[in-house]
Amino acid sequence: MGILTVNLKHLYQPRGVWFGHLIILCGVPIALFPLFFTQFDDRYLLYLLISFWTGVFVGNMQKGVLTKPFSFCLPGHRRIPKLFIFWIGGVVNLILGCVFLLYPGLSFPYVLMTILAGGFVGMILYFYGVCIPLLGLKRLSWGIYLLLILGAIFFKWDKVVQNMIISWPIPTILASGLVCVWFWRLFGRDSLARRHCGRLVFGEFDSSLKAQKYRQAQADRNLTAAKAKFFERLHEFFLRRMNRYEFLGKGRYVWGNLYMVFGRGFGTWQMTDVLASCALISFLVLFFGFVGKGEGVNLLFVILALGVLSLDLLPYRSMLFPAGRAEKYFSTLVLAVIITFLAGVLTLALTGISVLLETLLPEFGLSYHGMDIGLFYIFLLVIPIALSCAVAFPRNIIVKIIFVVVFMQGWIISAVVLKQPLMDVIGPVGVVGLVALCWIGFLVVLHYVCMRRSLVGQGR
Amino acid sequence: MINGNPIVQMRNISKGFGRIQALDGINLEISRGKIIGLLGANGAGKSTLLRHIIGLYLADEGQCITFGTHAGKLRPKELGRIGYVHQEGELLEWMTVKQLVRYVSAYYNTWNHELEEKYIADFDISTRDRVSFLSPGQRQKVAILLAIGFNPELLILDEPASALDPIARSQFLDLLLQIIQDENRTIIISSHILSDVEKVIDHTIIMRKGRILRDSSFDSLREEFLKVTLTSLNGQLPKELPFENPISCERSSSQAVLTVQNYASSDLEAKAKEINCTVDIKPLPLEEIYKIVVNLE
Repeated sequence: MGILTVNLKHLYQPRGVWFGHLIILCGVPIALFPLFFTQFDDRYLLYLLISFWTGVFVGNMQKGVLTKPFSFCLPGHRRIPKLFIFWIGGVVNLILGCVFLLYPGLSFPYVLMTILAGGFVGMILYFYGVCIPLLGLKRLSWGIYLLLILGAIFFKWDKVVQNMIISWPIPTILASGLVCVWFWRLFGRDSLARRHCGRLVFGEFDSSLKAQKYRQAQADRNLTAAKAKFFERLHEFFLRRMNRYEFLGKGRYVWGNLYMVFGRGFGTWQMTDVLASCALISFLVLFFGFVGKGEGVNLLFVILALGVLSLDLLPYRSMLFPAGRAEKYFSTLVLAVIITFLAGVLTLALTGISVLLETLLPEFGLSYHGMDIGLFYIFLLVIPIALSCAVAFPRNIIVKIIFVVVFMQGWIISAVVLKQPLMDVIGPVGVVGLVALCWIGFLVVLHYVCMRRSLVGQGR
Repeated sequence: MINGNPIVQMRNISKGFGRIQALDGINLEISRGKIIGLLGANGAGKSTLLRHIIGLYLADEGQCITFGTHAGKLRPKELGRIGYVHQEGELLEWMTVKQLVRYVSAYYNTWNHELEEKYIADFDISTRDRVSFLSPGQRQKVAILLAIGFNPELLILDEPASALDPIARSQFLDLLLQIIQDENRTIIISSHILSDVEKVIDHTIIMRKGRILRDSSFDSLREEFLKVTLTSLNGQLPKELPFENPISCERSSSQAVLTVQNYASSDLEAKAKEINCTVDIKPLPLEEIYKIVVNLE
């Protein structure tokens, strides 16, 4: 079996890759859909975006390969990522270029030229996508990506490209071909393989365990004296709390467990994470406030509750502490209550901010709607469901993503079907009952995980 | 079976992960005051067996009793008597070594600070380093310290020395011998470095594909398999040597080296005398014994 053939196995062997395939495949019908309505007028951008995302996907995959020392040392392997990138890009973009078969009025030999030209143009966007993970151009490239989208929306540059492909296919092929040659040389450089060899890199298809290691390594690089002092104070705080309780008692383990869970979060804490989280939350509060007539913003109750999915409530399971399964159950329950309280406070604070924004923001065609405090029960309803998923699948990122997607879809569909808030449908008693039921469900899942399931290794 | 008062009893334990049968009808008793070597190839079920003892895994069938309690229901009282060095090498990465030791010691009123200081000095551990900065060998040293620091009655070591350098391995083996001076202590050590293990163990459990092939004292195992060198006194060895079913036999015209099973030394000497040979009888190293036991099955 050739080295390239072995490398191509990356396209189906890691389970996470299938999720990537699914996302890219979902893009195809979305891109094809407008064709049936708009006579090929616009949105060639969507095809370019599929090329781009395929590039990001393939670039990540090859970055993972290049980090393995064997890919540098194995004879002839250093050139393989380049071949892999070009093969996948060639096939995908040729298929995407076939969209010009649907363009009205193109004669047979001419349409072949447009397909080729479309494929070559797609290759440029594809290579651009590859460069983001492979050359580590994240910040700059995502900025350019945003400009491209905005440029397409406001200045329709994709329409210009589309016209160029149809009107001058041969010059387009030649110009794009030259760019492809440049990329061919770029991806074949030894320096590229050397840059990645043996480095700890977190790819989209890696396990959450590796993600944790990667985050830790990043945090270590950014460790300052102030942070070290903060960790020391945190350590003393929790140790003092632990020491208030008797040896081998529940209280000591509960505080110790809180330290393990929160300490891990603080241990990998970085200012960019905090800023990114603040930016994301601000964006969500602003964006959803303008969606619909207030229905959109209330989705935040669901989104904020689902945020706890990222937590591992039972970390460090293979370290043996004097705490049995019953103590693990109890301490995780305490942890879940504390997390619910903290997330609840955050949700209420955001509700207050959004209500304030509703009174402050002026109307400009769109009006801003604040969150409805009366719907806070949604948060209490969703959080035990999210906690159950977090406990049952602590390290399975794919399952968590699928859970979020399915849950959100289900929530939106049920909201459309019901046409009125849940409280109006089943009444306050029904809502209280439903919340209680969800929490009982969480207790059952937690009890099963702590008391019956393997805590480490394969059976977890 | 091991005689005496067992601290771990496994009765007909089976455990599967999907289609893989990790443990298959394990019966085992472990009594106090032993150093037990748990041997087996990768995937033999060693770690799975050890994890059942402390309740990290629960058996599909059968039951595991540790310190008189069902392993799945172990309480802090029992778990506070067990030290465990695990294969994953999972530690609290964001802490410094000093913080980690303080954190773990906070759980135990039996924490031995003298031992901690001596160990840190002997094994040259830098307590100011963050755990995430440690090399694999240093991590393993810290993991061992955390497992022995509270003087556990049962010490379970799952591949404890794989990342240690030869000097550290030697120190580690000395440490085990010191720990076992207390008659109340029991150590179960799973390792692939058999040349190290054989220096300290007094009992052997050999596993393969989730089953126990041998559960016997190391001395009896060494007596069971012997390496015999026969040298003819009159130049030529007879064509047929008087040993039934030798495990292996390499011979020249005047000398033969055989591996035999279940022969007493006196019998071997008598048979050598019959064919006019001198005989040199040596026990096999553990690695050889292990290979033979696994291949015999």
